[in-house]
Amino acid sequence: MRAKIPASGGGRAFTLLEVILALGILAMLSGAVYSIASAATEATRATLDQQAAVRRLGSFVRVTRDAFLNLPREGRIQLRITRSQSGAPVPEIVFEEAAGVFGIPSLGGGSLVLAARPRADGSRTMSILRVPRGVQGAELERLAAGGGWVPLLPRVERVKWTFLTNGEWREEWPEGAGRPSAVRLQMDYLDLPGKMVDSQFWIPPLTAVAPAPPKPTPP
Amino acid sequence: MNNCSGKPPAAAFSLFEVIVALGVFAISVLGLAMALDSSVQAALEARERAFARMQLDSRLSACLADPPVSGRRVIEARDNQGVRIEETLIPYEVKTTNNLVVTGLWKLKILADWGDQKKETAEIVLYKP
Repeated sequence: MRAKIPASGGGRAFTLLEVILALGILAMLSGAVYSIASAATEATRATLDQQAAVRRLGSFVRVTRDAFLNLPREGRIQLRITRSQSGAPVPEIVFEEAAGVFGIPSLGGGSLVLAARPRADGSRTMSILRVPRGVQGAELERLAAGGGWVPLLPRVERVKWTFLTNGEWREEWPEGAGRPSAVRLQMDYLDLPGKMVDSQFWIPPLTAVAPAPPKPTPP
Repeated sequence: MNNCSGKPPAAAFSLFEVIVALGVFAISVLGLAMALDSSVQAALEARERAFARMQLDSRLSACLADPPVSGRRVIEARDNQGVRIEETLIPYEVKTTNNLVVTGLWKLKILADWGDQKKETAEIVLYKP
């Protein structure tokens, strides 16, 4: 509201009704601006969270894909189901003789375990554990119960591994089963609601190496 | 406005001025809301695109292990979380510098389609003698 106030002391001023009306309009405008600003902040935060979740998932899938893709000739994998302290089944992929997986240059004759470990909130975290050579039995259980796990992807659920061999998907892949053609990972990622992660990883087949021709004997 | 003092009437905003001011404010608020909506839509689209690319990578791996030997394989969007996948495998001809045809090469093309004009493709050449 604007009013020309005369220079004289007894000039005209705003009435109480005008001031209240002006304050009301100001309050409404401030409320509208605040609503928009808070909605923008919330939307930005949700957007950043989603982008971070997509990046985390993409990175996890990429390193897992590289692990299978670069599985060396002598590398072996197996699916092992263990039990958590609460008794929940924990699917574990065990990489053996697999140098270079998950950014680890060498396992030194040991193995690397990729497991969906239970969390306190009921979800699971895809984590890796490096197991030194010769560690097994009770010593392995102590190691697994310790804090050596490296978390890769938190907040996943219903993790399922399957293995393709001879055109057929199998839910078991015990030790000594050989080298599957592909591995499939299905799981729910809680930070991307409504989307089920379904990724397939190709494992290059081994080709028979022809024996080297005999060296010609010098005459 | 109160004008009972006998002095000249005080100037005040006219109805037209008030309406113009409110119109300007409404347009600016609308602009902010539209900018907010477009940024959210862009983020959602980026999420869908990233997800579709992951699907492409996954299908590429699947095709390397189990190529579409019939030449074409389609996974409909309703069966694949809204992303339609079309895989084609066609012979790929390459000639050497001696003009000899290299046989056993195939071009694998995968198309991910998740809406109007929202497409991603991946191509790879396979050697399958």
